[in-house]
Amino acid sequence: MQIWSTNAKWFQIFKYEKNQFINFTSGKVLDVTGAKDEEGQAVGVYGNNNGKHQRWRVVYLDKAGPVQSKGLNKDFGFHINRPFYLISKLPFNRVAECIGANNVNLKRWRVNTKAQQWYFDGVSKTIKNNNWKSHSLDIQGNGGSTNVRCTTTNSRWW
Amino acid sequence: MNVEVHPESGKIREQWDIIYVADWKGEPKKGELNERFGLYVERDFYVVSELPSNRYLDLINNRNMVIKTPNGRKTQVWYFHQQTLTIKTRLNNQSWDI
Repeated sequence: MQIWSTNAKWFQIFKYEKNQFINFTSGKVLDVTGAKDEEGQAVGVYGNNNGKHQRWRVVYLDKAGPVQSKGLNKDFGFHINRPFYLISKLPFNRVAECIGANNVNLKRWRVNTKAQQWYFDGVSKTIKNNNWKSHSLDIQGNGGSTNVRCTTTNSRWW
Repeated sequence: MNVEVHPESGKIREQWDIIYVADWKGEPKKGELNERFGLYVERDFYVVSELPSNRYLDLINNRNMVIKTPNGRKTQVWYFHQQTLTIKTRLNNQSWDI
């Protein structure tokens, strides 16, 4: 499934019924591909088998609870928006620093150096740098590398 | 689109409702429920998977649908558009499309 310019043809018309999004014409339903409950898993349409991967709740924003903006996020294990250092357990106990809004290197701790401070952002669910607040920890090459960088936040799985 | 006569097939294209003018309520307006489609008109919503992690329907590359943890972005916000009967994204107002 994708989004596309509106043309209101049959392949764009869905109704919501009994916790399923059903194409009005084909009867196929919105479906998490392979029933895999994974971050970034693709969503498509499939014949209806009423599995949990085909069932959805509609949560209207005016009825949704506020986004958690402080305190511990239990799913991720971080306190939201609370700066921290990433300290290596190697002998010098160096800290991770964002260099030039790009590379992440181990450096000796320096006083009040915001590029050495990180925080968990409760909205994007990423670890952001306290100096470059639009940048997050990121596995280079769309997750295909072993190198970690500090790059523009995108909330993708890497 | 023309209206024609054909041998009966029982398909939806051959089915009609009769609603007397005096009973016609008109189309649902913004904030009202469209009962046929099960959604409120132009009322923003998230689509939450019932798989155990309850991830939200989202977009990658501003195009393709995936499930992701809530992130507060417009790519996770949808609304029902009465004029086209499609579900649109608040990102750029494009519609769900197979």
